[in-house]
Amino acid sequence: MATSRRRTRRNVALTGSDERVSRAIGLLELLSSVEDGIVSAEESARHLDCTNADLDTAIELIATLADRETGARAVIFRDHGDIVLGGDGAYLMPLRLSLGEGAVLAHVMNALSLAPEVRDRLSRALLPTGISAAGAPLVASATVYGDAYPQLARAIEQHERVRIAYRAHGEEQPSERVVESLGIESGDDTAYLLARNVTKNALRRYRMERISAVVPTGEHFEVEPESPRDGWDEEVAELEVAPGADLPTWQGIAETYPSPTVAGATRVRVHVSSPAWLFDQVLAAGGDLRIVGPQHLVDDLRAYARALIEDSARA
Amino acid sequence: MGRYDAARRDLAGGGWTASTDAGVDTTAASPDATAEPAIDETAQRLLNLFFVLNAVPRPLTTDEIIRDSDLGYGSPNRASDLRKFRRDREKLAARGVFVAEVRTPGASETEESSWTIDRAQTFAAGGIVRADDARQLIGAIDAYLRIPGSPFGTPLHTIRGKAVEALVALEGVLPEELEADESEQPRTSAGSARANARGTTSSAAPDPARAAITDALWTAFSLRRAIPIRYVNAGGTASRRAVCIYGIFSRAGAGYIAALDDASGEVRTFRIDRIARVGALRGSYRIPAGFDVRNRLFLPFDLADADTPEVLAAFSFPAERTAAELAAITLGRGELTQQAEPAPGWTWHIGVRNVDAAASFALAHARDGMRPVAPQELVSAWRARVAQVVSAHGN
Repeated sequence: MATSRRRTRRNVALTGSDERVSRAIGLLELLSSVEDGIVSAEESARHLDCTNADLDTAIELIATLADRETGARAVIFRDHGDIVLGGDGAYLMPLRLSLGEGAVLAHVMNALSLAPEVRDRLSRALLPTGISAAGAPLVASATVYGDAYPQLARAIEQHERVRIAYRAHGEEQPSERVVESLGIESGDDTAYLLARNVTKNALRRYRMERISAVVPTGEHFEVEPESPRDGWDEEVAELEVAPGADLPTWQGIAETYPSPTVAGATRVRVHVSSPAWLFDQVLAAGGDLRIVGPQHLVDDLRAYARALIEDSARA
Repeated sequence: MGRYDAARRDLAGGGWTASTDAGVDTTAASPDATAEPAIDETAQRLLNLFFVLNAVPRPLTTDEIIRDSDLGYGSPNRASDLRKFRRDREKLAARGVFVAEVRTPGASETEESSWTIDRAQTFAAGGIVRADDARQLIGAIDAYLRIPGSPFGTPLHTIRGKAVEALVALEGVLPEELEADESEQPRTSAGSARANARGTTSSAAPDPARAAITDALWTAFSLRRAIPIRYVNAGGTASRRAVCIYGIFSRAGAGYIAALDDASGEVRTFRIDRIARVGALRGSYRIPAGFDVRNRLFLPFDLADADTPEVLAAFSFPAERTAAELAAITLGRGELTQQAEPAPGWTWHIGVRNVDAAASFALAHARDGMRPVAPQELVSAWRARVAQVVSAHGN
C-alpha cells in the first residue's frame, strides 16, 4: 500500500527536455505573433534568451510535429538570417501566464499603479485561473513607485515636459518643478525619477513616492546623449569604513581602496547629490562610517547631528 | 508509418532537401542534412502531444493517445504508458499547457476518458489587450527589471515576451525602441540586471547554476509543488528540507521565498542565494486563503536571536508626510496612526526585536523626520549612536 502511494507521487524533475519544450513553444508563439511567420534568428534568440544552437534544437523539434488524422504538420526552417514558420499547422495562440508569472504580473501592475482599466484588460487576457490582480499578493517588493509612474512613463516615452508637485526633504509642502523626464532608476528599496530641472537647468533625482502630481505641459524636448554623470549636481565624498564593517553597496560609488591611515579600514569615494541622505547613512552606521572629506561635509554632519539631538530633546 | 516516423524521415531527408531546393539555407540548422539528428525524444513527445491535441478538432480518447507509437507511447506495457501520459500532462501544465479530461454528460465512470486542450486556461484571450496596454506593460517591466537583486527576472522576461508578441500582433512590426530588453544594458553599480533579476547580487556575469535554482523555485511555486532544498543559513550551517512556497519577494537587494518548511512546520523566510541545491518536485499543496507575502517583508530590526523578546516601539513622523512616503519606510507593517493632538503628526507602532537596529533604522530615515518615541531604551540607543558619530568626527 505504501509502495502504491509512493508510486502515485512521482517526481517531476526539471530537465533539459523541459527547457527545450518551453523554448519550442516560445518560438512557435513568437513566430505565430507576426503576420508572415518570419522573425530574424537574432531577434528570436534574444526573445527566448537562448543561443543559436538552442534555436536549432527548437527548430528541429518543431519540424517533426505532424498529425496523421488532420494532415496538419509544422513547416519551419531557416532562411538565411530568418526563421520561417509556414502553413497553418503549427500556428499557436499565445499561452496564458503560469501561476507564478501571473502573481508577478499582478504585483507589477499594482506596484506601478497602472490604470484600473489597463489592469483589467491585461488581467483578463493573460492572468491564469486562480490569480486575481485584486487578491492578496503572493509576490512583493519593498521598492515603492508611488502613484505617478504611468504619467511619468508616458512623459519619458513622448519626451514631454511635465510639471510635477514634489516635496523635497525639509519641505513641509510640495512645490512645483518643471522637468524633462529622462528615466526611472530602480534601487534596492527606492525608485527615482531622473530628470532635468528646467528652471535650474540641472539634472536631479526625485524620489518617486514624493511626486504627488504630474501635469503635461504639451512642450516636447530633445534628449541629448550624455555620459552617466554629466550634468548631475553632486559632489564626491570620501568615507572611511571601519575594519570588519560591511562595505556600502549604494549606487554612485566611484572608487573603493584600502585606507592609507587605518589598518584594515577601507576608503570609499561616492557621488552624493543629497548631503542629508549621506548624513543619515553615516549616523545609521553608528561609527562604522566616517566622512573623511571634503571638510565642509564633516562640519555639516556635526551640525546636522546636533540639530537632531536638540529636536529629539524638544520632543 | 505513423506521425512521428513520417515526420522524422522528412526531417532527415525530404523535408530539409525540399527547403534547400526552394533556396533556403539549411546549413545553419543542420550541418549535415542527411545525418540522423539526435532528437530529444521526451521533448518531442511532449510537443507532439500538445500539437496533436491542438490540431485535432475533437477530444482524443486515452487509448488513442497511449496506443499511438507516433506520439511516443504505444509500448507493450499499457500501465507504463498511462503513467507516462499522466507525467506528460503534468510537464505540459508546468509549461502552461493544460490538458483537460472530457466526459460526455451522463457517461458512466467506466467509460474511457477523452482529452483535449483546455483552451480557456491555456491560451491568452486575444483582442482584449490594446497596443498602449502592451507598451505600458513593457515599460513597467523594464523599470522593474532594474531592481537589483530582484528574483523576478525569469517571470518578468516571460511576461515581457508576451507583451511584445501582443504588440507585434497589433501593430505588425516591433518598434525599434522596444526591441532590446533594457534590463540587459549594463548598469553602473548594479551589474547585469538580468543576473540581478534572477536573484544574484553581484555585478558579475549571470551564474547559470543560480539562475537554474531560481527558475526551479518559480516552477515549484507556479505548480504549487513542494521542492526539496539544501539551505545554508547565515551562520554557514547547511540543512535539507522540503518547502511549499507561498510567496516570493525582494528586499534590500536580495530575493526571498516565504514557504511552509517541513523541518519546522512553520512558514519561514529563506534567502534565495543561500539555497545551494534544489531537488525534484514533490506533492502538491494549497496556499492558505488570505496569505499576503507583504507581511513577510522584513525590517532590519526583525533580525535577532530566536530567544530575543519583541518590544513594542513607537516612532513619530511629521504631519506633512504622505501615506505613500510612509509606506516606503514602514512597508505596510505595524500600525500607523495620524493624530491631531498634542501636535499634528503620525505615530508608527511596530514590534522590535533588535533595539540597536531599530535606532539605526530611525537614523537612516532621520531626514524624513522619523524619530524614536518609545521605549526609552530605543531613544537612548538612538541618542548614543548620534553622539558616537559626532565623536568620531571630532565633536
